[in-house]
Amino acid sequence: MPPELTSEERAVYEWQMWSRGFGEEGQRRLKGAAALVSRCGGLGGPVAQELAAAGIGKLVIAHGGNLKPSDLNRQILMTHDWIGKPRIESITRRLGELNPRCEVTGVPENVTEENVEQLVEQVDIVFDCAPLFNERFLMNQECVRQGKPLVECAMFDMEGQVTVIIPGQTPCLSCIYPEMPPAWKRQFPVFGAVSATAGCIGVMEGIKILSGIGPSLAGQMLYYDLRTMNMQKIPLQRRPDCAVCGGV
Amino acid sequence: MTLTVNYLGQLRNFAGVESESRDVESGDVMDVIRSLGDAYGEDFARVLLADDGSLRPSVMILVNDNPVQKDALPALNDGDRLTLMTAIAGG
Ligand SMILES: [Zn+2]
Repeated sequence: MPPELTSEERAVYEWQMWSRGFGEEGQRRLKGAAALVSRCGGLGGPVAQELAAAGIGKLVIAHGGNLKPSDLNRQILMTHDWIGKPRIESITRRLGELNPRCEVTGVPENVTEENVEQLVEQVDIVFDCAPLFNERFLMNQECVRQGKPLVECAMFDMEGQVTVIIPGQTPCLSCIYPEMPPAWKRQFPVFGAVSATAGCIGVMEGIKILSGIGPSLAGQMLYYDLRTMNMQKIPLQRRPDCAVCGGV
Repeated sequence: MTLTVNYLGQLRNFAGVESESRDVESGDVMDVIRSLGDAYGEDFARVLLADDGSLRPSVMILVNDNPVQKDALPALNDGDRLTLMTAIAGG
């Protein structure tokens, strides 16, 4: 049974509990849920912020490195006074200020082969916000192995792609992209508003999955282009010979 | 025949355009992709084609907004919209 809400929580979340189909039951499910967000920059920052604000019970945030000036145009959980210091400290401090009811575990590392199993074990859902494909493929593989939903959020320049992976039911990331794309570079053009758009769409997918409302993007990719304001849902297909989810 | 070709993701930066109308001689998707590679250069071509000239598995192709299987590419017709999409991972 999901945990009861306190009267303070009822007051805080009242306006979203008016959302059709969500109500107090949905809010309680959110309170009883834990999510992994990795990484927590231009995309993961808004994801963690909106999940915390909406009242998710627990967040595990994995993000390594120290804050650089060039992070600040989009990584909204970072503050100027923290340049040169660990990003994760700025993230956990800001989330604590935003919603002290949310339990936040900050991990000062990005996802690796060594830590991915233990990170995914702690949560009910994973938000993939990593800028490198090796981290994305690791999270995909581990979510398939543990049977946990994965919200895939990605962006480049003014475009975004969001999909939901339900292991055993939908295509996984390796079904969609079976190889490391050859030209992807660590640095890419980004406005904070474009990455935040992907993040906010991903958060709503997560909230719907955790609270059991609405159809999600499972098996479909939402593509948006903020340059031309085109938006499109693309149906995705499983690959029977997928190296990751073929046997699931 | 004339196609509308849409470039998504990094392809757009290499092509320098989001979308264009293009006259092509062949309705074969691979022929069209090869001719685009010739027009837009090595970086563009490398995103779409492997060293052996085959289509990379990380490319998604849509014809008139519907994804098509890479092992069963349809013949293109005059007026078709060909969309070339690649994996992105910005975070
Ligand atoms: Zn798969």
